[in-house]
Amino acid sequence: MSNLETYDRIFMEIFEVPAEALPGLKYQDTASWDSVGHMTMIAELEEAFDLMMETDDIIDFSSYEKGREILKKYDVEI
Amino acid sequence: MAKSSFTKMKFSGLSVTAPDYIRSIDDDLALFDNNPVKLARAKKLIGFGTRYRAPEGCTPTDLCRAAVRRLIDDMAIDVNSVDALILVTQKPDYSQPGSSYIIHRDFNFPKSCAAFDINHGCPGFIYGLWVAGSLLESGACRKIMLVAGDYYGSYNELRNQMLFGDAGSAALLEYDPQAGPSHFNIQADGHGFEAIINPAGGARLPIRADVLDLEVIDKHGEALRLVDGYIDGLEVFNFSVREVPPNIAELLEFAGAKLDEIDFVAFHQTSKQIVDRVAAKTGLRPEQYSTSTFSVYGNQSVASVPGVIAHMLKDKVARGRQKVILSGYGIGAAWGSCLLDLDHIYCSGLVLEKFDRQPSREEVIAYWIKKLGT
Repeated sequence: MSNLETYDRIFMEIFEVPAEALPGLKYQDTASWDSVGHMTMIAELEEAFDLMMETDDIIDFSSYEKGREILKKYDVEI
Repeated sequence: MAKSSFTKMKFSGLSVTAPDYIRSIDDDLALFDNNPVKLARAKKLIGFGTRYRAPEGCTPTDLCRAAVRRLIDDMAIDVNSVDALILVTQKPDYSQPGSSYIIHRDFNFPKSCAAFDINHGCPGFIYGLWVAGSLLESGACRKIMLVAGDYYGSYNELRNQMLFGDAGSAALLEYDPQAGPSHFNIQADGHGFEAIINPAGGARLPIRADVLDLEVIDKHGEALRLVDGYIDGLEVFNFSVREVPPNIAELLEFAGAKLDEIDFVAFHQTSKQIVDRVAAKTGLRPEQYSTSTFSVYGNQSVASVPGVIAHMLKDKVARGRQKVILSGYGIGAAWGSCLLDLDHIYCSGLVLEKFDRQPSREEVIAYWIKKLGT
């Protein structure tokens, strides 16, 4: 599975949205992307890509696109 | 920053009590949209397991009373020798006076024993210990009972309630010139006061009919009531991970100690996820801290640090010496840590008790009608 497929799968499973809803998806756009959903998503990404994000990055992780940018800092190209 | 060291505060004993009614997170599947995968994920991530809740009608004062009784009995404490009774809670039995006076009455503490409440939550045990240490160090007191207890208490609201367990604690602190040093780093940031708050019920917004059943629908369609507790989960995470590790690093530097020398750090048990991350950023080894008190008992608020000592360290502190850091953080926003030795202290462990004989709401109302009526 590519990094993009893994990234998308985590978003779709946790936030319960279809693939076509991912572009532009932002924090609190859906009921599932609340603070608990956010931390769940972070934990799943950290486990999948074997990294630990800085607190500022966790807070800045505000959208599907922003997350891709942030993961680049951890050498995860998506 | 309030950094201070004491040399005459001896931590002599600790008793912690929780109610024996257990609730499992598996009972709350509905909060996870009846989706077992979501529940399993939350258990793994947040550390949800079980928690112990007080029955309706049982208050933090009742939980504290049980802890005080055990401490007095097991340590054979003469209440006439106690100079101050400090009770830390956010949920006193009455908005005034403080619950310390109820405990003072119930155990016949003498008139020479001062009593007062400190209104505090998760960081409150560290704040209380710091106040007690100051009173002992100055010579104002020679023996202090520090009582701390809380419950979630909002039976209609489940989303936050699933994090919390209820407990009461009582610690005996004594003046002892040979006690050895204890060091504190106490901090606060009032800008965070809305992150964890009960909007209604204080002097700013007293509970009246206009807020009693008022529901605010949030962005997710969830109904919130102003009379219930509100927690900004992401802000609590952010603040905890940002502030607590440097607070502990500064404490160690101030004390001239190294992290490797510390046997155990008793963190306030917010959740497994937050404590794990705070511990990692602090640089702790896995054996130097634990999140299992959260998973077994829930977040016990102001009694959570005593709860960790009682749950994780009972035998070690009763039979030997442990160099520990106690770290509390949360409501305020406030946070603080202290470094001290727990050396052959009395420790009850975390004892479960039945609390099924509390007066009902109707009985309390009837009491006050009789008391105040003609």
